[in-house]
Formats: sequence, structure tokens, C-alpha cells
Amino acid sequence: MPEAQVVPINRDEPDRCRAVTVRGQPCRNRAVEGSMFCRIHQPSSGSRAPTGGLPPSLGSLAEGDVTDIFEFLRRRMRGEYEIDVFGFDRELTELLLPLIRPLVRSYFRVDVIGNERIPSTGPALLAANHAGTIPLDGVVLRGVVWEHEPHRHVRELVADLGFTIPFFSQVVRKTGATVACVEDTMRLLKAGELVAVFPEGFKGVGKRFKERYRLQRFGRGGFVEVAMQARAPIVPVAIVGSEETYPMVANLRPLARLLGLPYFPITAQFPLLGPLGLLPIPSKWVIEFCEPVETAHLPEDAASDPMAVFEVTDQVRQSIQRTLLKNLRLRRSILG
Amino acid sequence: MGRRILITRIGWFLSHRLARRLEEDPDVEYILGVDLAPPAGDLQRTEYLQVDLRKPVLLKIIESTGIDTVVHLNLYSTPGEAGGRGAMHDLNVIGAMQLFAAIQRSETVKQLIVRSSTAVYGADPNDPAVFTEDMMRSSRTDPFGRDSQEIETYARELARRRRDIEMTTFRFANILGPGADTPLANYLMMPVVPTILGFDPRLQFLHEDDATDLLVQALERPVGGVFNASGDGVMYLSQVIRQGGRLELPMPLPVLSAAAPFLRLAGRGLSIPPHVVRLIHWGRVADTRRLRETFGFEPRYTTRDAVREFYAERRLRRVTRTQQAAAWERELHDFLTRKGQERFLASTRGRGPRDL
Repeated sequence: MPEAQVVPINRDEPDRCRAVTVRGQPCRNRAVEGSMFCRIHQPSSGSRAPTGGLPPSLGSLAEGDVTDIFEFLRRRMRGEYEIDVFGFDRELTELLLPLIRPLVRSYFRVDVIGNERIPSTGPALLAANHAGTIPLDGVVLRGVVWEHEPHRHVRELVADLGFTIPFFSQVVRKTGATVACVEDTMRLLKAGELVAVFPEGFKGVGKRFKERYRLQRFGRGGFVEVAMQARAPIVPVAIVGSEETYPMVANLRPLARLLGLPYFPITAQFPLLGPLGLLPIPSKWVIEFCEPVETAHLPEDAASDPMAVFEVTDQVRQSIQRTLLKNLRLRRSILG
Repeated sequence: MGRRILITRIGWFLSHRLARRLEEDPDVEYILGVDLAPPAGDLQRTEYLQVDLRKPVLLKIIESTGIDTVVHLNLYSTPGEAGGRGAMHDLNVIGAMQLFAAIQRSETVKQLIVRSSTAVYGADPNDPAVFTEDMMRSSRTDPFGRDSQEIETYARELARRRRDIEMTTFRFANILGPGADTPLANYLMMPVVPTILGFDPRLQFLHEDDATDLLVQALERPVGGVFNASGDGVMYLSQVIRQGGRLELPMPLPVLSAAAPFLRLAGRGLSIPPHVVRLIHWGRVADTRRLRETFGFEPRYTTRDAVREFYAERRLRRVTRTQQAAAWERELHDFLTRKGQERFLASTRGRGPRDL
């Protein structure tokens, strides 16, 4: 801590920095020659977000940044921002994504293998295992893909039930997800997007702890068919760690039916620990992007041949299952 | 010989605009507008005939006037406008049946344009994000959507029986613009806009000028088929409300549904009809690729433009009202001064000879 000293503040003094520190006091550093700011508060023109979003760091705010933030807020208040037909609000999403960074890096300490296999351009379908009672794997997968070059946005396919839930449905749409249906998947792939699907669906998230890391049935393989039609590669993704976040001990089916939910979980920490039980167990995660399954070389009509679709589906399934078992051995225990 | 055009529901704001446009076209020889109520604004050479579409009188009208083109814009979206849900259904569906039956018999009609709505797709959380023309769902829609579906079904039957008639069906997205008088427009004009808590639906709009241009183009260069019609781009309801400088009042759906009838009592234009409630719950977006590529129409206004113009013009109108008041004041002033001068002149005239 620097010693407190009385410094005459003269805002018009040319060699003093004009910025305001985080504590709201005028900065007392000397300004860099030819500039109105010191080295710390030098507005960095290059690192500012190109979309006109928030400046990357909120640590020290220069006057320019403050104007930017106000301009940004004004624009949002006036509703002047663009969304795509699916309702993807890129600006908002890029504001939220850094917030999940601690979850990915510090809480679950995610190790990523094979991130170079995420296609850097063009359409692709990420197919991952689904687990954990509360589907945190979707959030973490997004964060992981966005952290790595070339910072692509994952467009998840979410079960239609998710879109009936107030607030959740809004967040899901605004962050770029859409209903898991053939039409939307096709439209996203045709637009060259990176689409993520959890083919196990509720069977995966809602399975009990004793069934962990055992892949459930893959729906009807609709996602494979669409990827084949769109000639997009399928990247199997094996996520280790998601199974232990909320270990489901029992599933209260009658209560679930009453509430219209796909399952009603009793987990190790919920409802035993009350609201605290909503915190996930900080398990150690390993995410591996497996060798992509190419579909471009398949014959033109392969998508309408159920046998060919089954074969590809099986290939994806086995790839995930094999990798899951391999990576489970990487961890000494659930926590690390 | 010029074209002879019949427009149904001439009292609707868009029919009126279309008629005005067609009146300027020298190739259009005759325009007949039918409706239960007379058109709201003035029309130059459009003939108005009070007709109840539910009654079998249309064939006689078509035959006696030699109509060759029918623009069927008769479609009520709210029970309120039609005088009850029963009347709305009859006017929409029975009216269309009567009209199509008359057209099937007629020897003069060569072209038919049918107004439908993207409400035919319904609005539901299970739905794909974007509807193309072949994704029509049988259920999961509101009365307005169901009526639109039925009208389309009868139109398809007519097209099958009379292949010589060129038929174009437009599924209009919500129409918005300076003069748009629709339930959704009224809803968006509320100073405090009630929304459904926890939901922010995606909406798209067609500017009223584009809607008119589209109908005119369909008359000039007919392309048969069914087309979604909307401006480019999508907006969240919250964005629309903010752009209009209005306040959003989120409330749970049951509260909104319960409050809706009372709103209607509070004042005209305040009601939130069922199809709007459905729309502000789930939202709806239709694909317009076929409109661009097959029909060959490029909307001039995007969804955002339509919203901007809608709010800007309404604000302007309020200004116009005060300007008008000023104009009236000036007129009154002029009138009074004129009268005063006249009286003065009269008095001097009257006084003159007597003095002499």
C-alpha cells in the first residue's frame, strides 16, 4: 500500500493522468507524454471489443470506457441490438460467457483433450454424453469451446420441455440454443454453425448415480440423419465429471409426474442440505473431443438408409463410451 | 379492357390502402369493395357495396360487374371486431366458403389473392424456431389461426377444381406501420405494456407499405402458391417495447389472462385478444425465402424499420393533432376577423347613405 500523502489535485494540470481510479478518486500518476493518461489508464484501443460491447477489463476505467459503457447500456435500454432468427443475442452472450470462466477453470478444473478437433469453420455437430441431474455439462461445454481458438459459439439443442420453463427458456434462447428438432438442426448446420446435441436427452441427465458413465439409448438417431443430410462432421465429445455434480440417489416419479417434470431428483446434497444442496459437488472434469466422424464421403442417399444411419450412430456412441472409460482412469478420485 | 377487381372487407385499413393504390392505376377499370361497414376513409372511384359475405349473393355481384380478379382480405382476427366469436368464425370461414363457391361458378374470375396469416403455424414451445410454408400444424393454435387454416383449406380445394384460376395465398406476419390498425399494434401502443413473466417471445413484422406493394405486385405479376410474408429480421418483444419507449409490466400468465377482459372494459384498443396472448407467450417466426426467391418480392422495410416507423409516426401524429388545433384556431380567427370586417363594412355602408 502506498503511503497516504497530500497531493494537490489540479485536473487541468497537463502532466497528471485524467482518469478516475477504481475507488473513485482521481488518479495521481504522471501522464505519459503526449497523452492525457498514465500508463495504467492508457485507453487500449486495440483490445476493446470490436462489437462495441463492454471493455474487456473493468479494473481501471478511463473516461472513454465509461462513455462506452453508458453508450452500451443506453443502446440495450433502447432495444437497439441484433438477434438472429433463433433469438441468439451475441452481445449478451459474450458478456455472460466470461462469468462462467471461474466455474470451468477453478470450480470443476476442466482438463480439455483434443480441442484442436473442434472444426474451426463450417458446420459441425458435437455429440456429447449428458449427465448430472442439472445439465451443467451444456454450460461447461460452451465455455470450453469458447475459450479455445477460434472462439466459436456452441448452439445447443435443448429439449422442448426447457422452452416451457419461465426465465430459463429466455436465457436458453438468448444464448443461442434452440429446440431439439430436425428443422432447427438443419437450419443451423446450413448456416455453418457449431451445433451441440446431447442424444441421451432426459434419459441421460435423469439417470441415477449407480448408472454413471453408462451411456443411455440415443433417441432415434435423428441428429445423425440430419448431420448426414447436411454433410457435416460429427464430433463425439466425452465429458467426465458431470456425473458427480449432483449424484441422484432416487427419483420420485409420482412427484415428478404431478409437477410435469421428467424426473424429481433426490441427490446426495438435495434436499438434505436445503438451498446449499443446489451447489454442485466440485468434481474434477475431463472433456475430450474425439476423432470426428466424417459424413461428407458417404453416398448421396445414405441419410435415407436407416442401416447407414444406425452405423454412424453406433460409431459415435462407441467413441464416446470408450473415451469415457479411458479418461475415468485419468482421475485418482472424483475430486481430482 | 382494363381489370375489374373485387376487394372483400374494404373497411380494413389495408384494403383501403390497396384500393387507393389501384385507383391510381389506369389499367384498373373498376374496383368494387364489399364489407359490412363502409370504408373508413374516402375513396375516389371505388364502388362500395354493403354485403354480408355469409349470404349467397356474391355470384350475382361478380356476374353483374364482370369481376376478373378477387382480392380476399376478409379475415377477422378478434371476436371484438366481428361481434363475438361465433360471428367471427362465420364471417371468416362461411364467408370464404360462400366467396369461393361463387368464384368456382363464375366464368369471369381469372385470379384470386387470399389473405391468410402466419398464425396458421400456431405458437408453441415445441415448435421449430422458424416456420417454412410446408410446416403447417393441424392443432395448437388460437381461433384466428384455426380460421386462417380453414380458409386455406377451402382455397386449396377451389384451386384444385379450378386450375385455370391463378391463386396466391399470403401468410402475413403481424402488420405494423404508421397506419396499422391491428390488435397487436393497439397492444404495443399501451403506455405500460403487460407481458408474460419469464417469457420474451421473438416477433417479426411486415410494414404496411410492403404489404400493399406485395398485393399490388401479386396483381401485376401473378405467381401461384402460398407465401409467408414478413420483413427481414427478428426482434424480442422486450426490444420492441423499449424501442417504443414504453414500460414493460411482466405478470404471470394467469394474471394477464384474468386482467385481459377488464382491460377491454377500460377502453377501446386496450384489449388483448387470445391470439395476441399466445403470440406474446411463445412468439413466432416464419421463413420468407420462398417470398423472395419464388415470388420475387424483396420487402423494403425490416422488422426493426417497421417498429421504428410505427412508433415514430404515432408520436408525430400527436404532434399533428396540436398542429391541427393551431390551424383550426387560425381558421377561426380568420373567420371572425372576416366577419368582423364584413360587419364593419356593412355598418359603414349602412351609415354612409344615411349620412349623406
